[in-house]
Amino acid sequence: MTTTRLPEVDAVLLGVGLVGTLLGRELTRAGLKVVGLERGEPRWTVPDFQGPQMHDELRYSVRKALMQDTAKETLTFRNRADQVALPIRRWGSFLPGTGLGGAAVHWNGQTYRFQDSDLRARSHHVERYGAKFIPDEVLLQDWGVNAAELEPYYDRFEYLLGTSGRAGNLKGQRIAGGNPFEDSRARDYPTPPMKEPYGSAIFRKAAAQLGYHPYPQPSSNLSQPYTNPEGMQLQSCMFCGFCERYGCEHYAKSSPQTVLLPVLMRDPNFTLRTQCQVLRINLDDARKQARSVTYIDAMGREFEQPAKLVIVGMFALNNVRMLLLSGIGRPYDPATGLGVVGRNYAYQTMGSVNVFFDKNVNINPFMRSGANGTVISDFVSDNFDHGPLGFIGGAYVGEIMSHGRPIEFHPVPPGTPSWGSAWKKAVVEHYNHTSNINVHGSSVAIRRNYLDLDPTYRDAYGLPLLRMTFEFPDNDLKMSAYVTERAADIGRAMGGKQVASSPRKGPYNVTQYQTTHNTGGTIMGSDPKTSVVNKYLQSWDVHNVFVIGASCFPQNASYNPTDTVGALAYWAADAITRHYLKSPGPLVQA
Amino acid sequence: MKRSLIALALGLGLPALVVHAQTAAPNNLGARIATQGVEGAAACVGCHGANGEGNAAGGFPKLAAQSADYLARQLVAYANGVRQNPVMMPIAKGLNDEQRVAVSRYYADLKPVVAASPVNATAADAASLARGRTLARIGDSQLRVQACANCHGPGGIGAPPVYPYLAGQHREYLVAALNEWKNTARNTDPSGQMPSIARALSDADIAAVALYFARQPGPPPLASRVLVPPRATRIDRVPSGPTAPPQPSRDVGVEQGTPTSGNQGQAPAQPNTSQPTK
Repeated sequence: MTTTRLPEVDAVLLGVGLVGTLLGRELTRAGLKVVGLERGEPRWTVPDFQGPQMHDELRYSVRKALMQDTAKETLTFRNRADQVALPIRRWGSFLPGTGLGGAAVHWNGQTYRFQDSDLRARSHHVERYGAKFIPDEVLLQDWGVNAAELEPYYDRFEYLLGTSGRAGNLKGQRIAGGNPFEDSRARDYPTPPMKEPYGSAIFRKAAAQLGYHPYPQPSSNLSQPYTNPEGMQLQSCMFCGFCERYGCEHYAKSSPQTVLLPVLMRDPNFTLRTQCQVLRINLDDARKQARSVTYIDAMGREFEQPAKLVIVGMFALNNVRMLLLSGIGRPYDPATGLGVVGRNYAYQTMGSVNVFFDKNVNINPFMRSGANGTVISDFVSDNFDHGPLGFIGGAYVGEIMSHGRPIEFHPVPPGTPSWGSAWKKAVVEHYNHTSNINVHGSSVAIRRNYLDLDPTYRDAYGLPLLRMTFEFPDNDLKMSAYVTERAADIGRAMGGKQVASSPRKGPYNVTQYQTTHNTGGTIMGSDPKTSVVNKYLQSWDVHNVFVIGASCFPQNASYNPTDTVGALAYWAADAITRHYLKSPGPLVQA
Repeated sequence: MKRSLIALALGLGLPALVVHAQTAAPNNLGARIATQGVEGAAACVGCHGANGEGNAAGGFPKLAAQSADYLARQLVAYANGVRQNPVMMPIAKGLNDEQRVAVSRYYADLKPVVAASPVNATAADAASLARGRTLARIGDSQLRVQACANCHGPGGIGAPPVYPYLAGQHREYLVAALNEWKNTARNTDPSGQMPSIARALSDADIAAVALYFARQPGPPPLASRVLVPPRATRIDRVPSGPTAPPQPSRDVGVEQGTPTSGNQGQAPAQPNTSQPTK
């Protein structure tokens, strides 16, 4: 096939999702000519996310219309290295998105900052518990940045989104009603917290009764109309209950389309090319610099796009795969422990508790939003003493139901048959009278969980698929058992007739949905022997390649990743525009 | 009906006690207020017509088959000055809570009024009508305005109890209402969407959506739409297959970490009778 070589540009974005949009804007503002390559289709709030067609649960939730097409590209999966990995033919556990705006189109909007004790995880745990407290197989690492350094970038990202919430720690001062465990922030959230649902109020009262500190979940589905610093106006969430896996018809969810893309599209320095699949990054002969990327467009034509700077922002799993396919960085080998690309893969450890109420208590789960409810951080990360407990990490606990849709949501008490008249009767009885408590837990990286390229299976373009080898670490199962039991205590205090607890249990099953919080594989750090990118997310090996996303997390914390991904994107963009562009080369000496 | 009345009253912050008195008899109070008026408030029919059909030229909206909750909230808003209108404000103030609820319920129960002939659209109106249809069904990307249908329902038939119908409403009234949103004479949307949307629309766009909705078939009667949760007995009458005895399930699908049905590979749990720990 002939490859058409295009004129060189200053920067090329691999992926125009959240990361691509943020970097595209920062780089074009700095005067660079930027090309954005997005493998999926272009899509906009109007007309693509409008109702009533957007409220099609079968299409979007069950058949996953906004997600990656597994017939073209998927992952292979196995729990352990002594098994053969097989292709995931239907998404289950995680749902990689695709399309302009990426997963930030169909995310739930839960927006939390990681704590300093997450970013300095190793140092913190050694200080508090001693190095021997960390289980042998756990690869606990510091990120190379701390909360104080990232604070202005979290702030900037949250003000771009218009996130709704209540600060708990304003410039060192504790604010009642906010999260007392958060690190100091310079400003309050840009918009006030959303209205609290009834089920969440019951949770809040029970949690407070037990001595915990409930606060409103920070939400990027806004509580009121808001105009962000880029001049984009967002509207308030209408609690339609179709958040995760759906685009928002109301302009209320913070997505690239609603917060920034229209501004970027007006910039003559920016060119968007959709339905363009990037195959690899091409390096120079010395393999020290990237000179171009090769991609295939919708008509199957191959192009080479030369660029001085390459931004890899394709979603965590795809970032790892792109580096492996392009030969950037040494691939990780769990047998020897050497190599870095694919190392420290982690996930999210999810548990839950169902509280079944009497039929006089109407929970109305359909009248919710993606990030609406009340949570406690008393069991997040190292916010509690782990000394006697024998594990590290923790989970936030909250009544934050977002999934009360008719096909997917039919909670029934344990002992109910799985099908038939009795099942249907139980669903009718319990649908509107059940509160679900989410236990959203951290995930440590261990030596044997990793990502690499599959030796057998290939994608539609003939390139090896990414292979995932993952099993829940014992540490995380212990953590989940403990925190889910604390959540069950709250459930029992909520006054239901019955409480059913579901801590996470092994083995990890890739067919059951949990979250799409896949992290690691191109982790950041201060030592090139144990990280792929430096603290500015610049590749140690190829200085004009920056890899940005949750693939940079050395391990995953209790909270959702997006706020941290956004903050890191602004952090890296700052390093690029203020330092790298003036003097291209490694920003950190190894 | 009783349930929705209580919900209506509570939603307005009115004591449910007031509403109970209503449920025993047919809504004579509502009918009386509408047709004869009370001390302090003229009869509604004078402007809103004998059948709640409104008056196009006068700009008085159709009330028939409108959501009772919505109507009652407008009356409270007029009384409180949250919605400004020189005609309605004194009338609303002249009614007490019980009367506002009763007359709203009266109009909600009326049959929808079907226009004798569709609103005239001249050839010159064709472009405006097309524009109105686009805004109503799709929205406008440049203006960042979502489709009206998202909240007001397909064809503008409304989504009771919260969102009023627009279908078949008088175009003059719709134009006036959108301008009220625009110039802050009306502040009855807690989400803040309507003022934002109205401000984004030009006079031509306002005329276009008003023309489009005025020409839509009116809403179905309210009673046929408000969903009442089915009682369990109705389900019992439709058996479906043999009832399997409880069995442990393997690998049940999990949504958001929650089992979606059955037990989770464990023995059935005992009903929880433990006390809270504190």
